[in-house]
Amino acid sequence: MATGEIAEVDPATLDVGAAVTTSGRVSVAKMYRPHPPTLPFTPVQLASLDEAITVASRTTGLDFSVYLGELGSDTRARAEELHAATTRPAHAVLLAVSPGERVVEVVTGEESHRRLPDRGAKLAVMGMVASFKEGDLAGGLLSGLRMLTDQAGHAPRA
Amino acid sequence: MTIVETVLVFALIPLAIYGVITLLTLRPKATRIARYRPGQEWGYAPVWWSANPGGLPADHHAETAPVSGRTARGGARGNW
Repeated sequence: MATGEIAEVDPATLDVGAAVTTSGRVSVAKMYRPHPPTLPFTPVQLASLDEAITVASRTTGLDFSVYLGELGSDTRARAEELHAATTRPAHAVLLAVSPGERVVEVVTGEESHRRLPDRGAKLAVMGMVASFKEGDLAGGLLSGLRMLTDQAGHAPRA
Repeated sequence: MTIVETVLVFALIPLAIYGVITLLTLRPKATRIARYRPGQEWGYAPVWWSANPGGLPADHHAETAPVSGRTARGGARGNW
């Protein structure tokens, strides 16, 4: 059939939910299937996580990010690799959580380590682990971000 | 009304209604959010969230110097 030619469709051959309209086009109705969620979080939890990360980055001037997924056998090396891949590694604070391996890693860069000593990071990790033990991933991440924000304090005035 | 009719109307019909409602509560919801429990498999694709750039001051990402090698200086780890 050449381009622009009009094909005639016999309405009897169409499936259920399809009809030939007056203009000659075929209109097909499709069943709506709701998508299952891609993460075990409610929209409210996702929104508060997004807000917590943004507020943490804004108040401290550091780049907070949360990685949630597989970290492989050497979790620390993988988390440091991810940290090196950030846009500003010196200011980056990476929270890498692997629920499959039940590991949480906090990685800080040069400037973020100065602002956020290992002792403060350890305290935040202990708070997060307490929530993760109960199966509350979103709550743990939220409290961890808040503790790290409080530890790092406000961004120095330029 | 015979005794059989009485039983049918006053016992069987209410029981049928209860049964239908019970079955409705048992059906799996397509958009159900599975709860994470410690120790279970994590079958989700990895995600990496960073701050919403709209909520940050304009000069937040001022410096972007490419670096090579190890950038990590510290941090902490834990498991559960």
